[in-house]
Amino acid sequence: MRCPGPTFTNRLASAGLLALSLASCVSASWTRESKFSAPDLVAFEQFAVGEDTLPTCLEQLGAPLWVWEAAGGQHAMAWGWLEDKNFGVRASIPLARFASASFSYARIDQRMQGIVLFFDAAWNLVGTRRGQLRDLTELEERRRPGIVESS
Amino acid sequence: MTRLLALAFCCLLGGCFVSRGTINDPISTAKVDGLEVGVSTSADVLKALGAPTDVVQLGSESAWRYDFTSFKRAGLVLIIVSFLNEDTRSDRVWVFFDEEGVLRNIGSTFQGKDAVYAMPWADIHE
Repeated sequence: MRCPGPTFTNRLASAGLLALSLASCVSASWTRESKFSAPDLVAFEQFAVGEDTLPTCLEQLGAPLWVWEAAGGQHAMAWGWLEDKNFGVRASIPLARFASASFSYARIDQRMQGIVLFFDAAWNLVGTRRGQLRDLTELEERRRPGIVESS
Repeated sequence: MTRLLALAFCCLLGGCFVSRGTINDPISTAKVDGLEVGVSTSADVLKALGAPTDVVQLGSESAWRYDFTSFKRAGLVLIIVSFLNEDTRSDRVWVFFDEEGVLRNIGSTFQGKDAVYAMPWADIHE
């Protein structure tokens, strides 16, 4: 068996250095980010405006992500979920994307899908919406802090 | 020399990592089940669950949120390709009070323990 010559060694060294440089500069990545689960959408589609109330909606859908006072004295609540998949070539390994806090209730993830229910002051269902949460919600408006009174 | 280069090359082949984090403490289902609609007051809820993470005023009524969030990340990094997955699940409880501070409605979801480590191609939470 012949020993590899200097040419083979040089090529191997060059390939190793090229791989090292590629690893730090260019990489393909396949990422997925999942946040929360979609509520029972079959039940949501069967909700009847004017008939369903807050208790029946909470029983079917569970706890919402956000609750707020909407325009016209209505109350609104939103459920959101996210399944984001990406594949592509990046200039750097995207570890930094996952370095920050995963989720903040103070801010809607703009990629989230969601549903919104609207209730009147007596908690009767008066409206529903489904789609991109950023298109459905106006959470930055008409939210005011509540005062907790100690007994 | 060749063996040394080959060894160095193998060391650069890849790496993997897992990480996890939580926000707030898990919510006790037993304590939530102990609350009684129409009977329990805001003081009872405070005693059972502690301070809420959010309070929302709804006209003369109010709603409190309790939440616990768990996220798990897993990654596999090869020389020129990386696979990354992050899964976030939460426990959430909303309690609704009338203008007199009496509990009128409770909404709860307990999925915080369901966060998993996985690769992007894996079917999770199906």
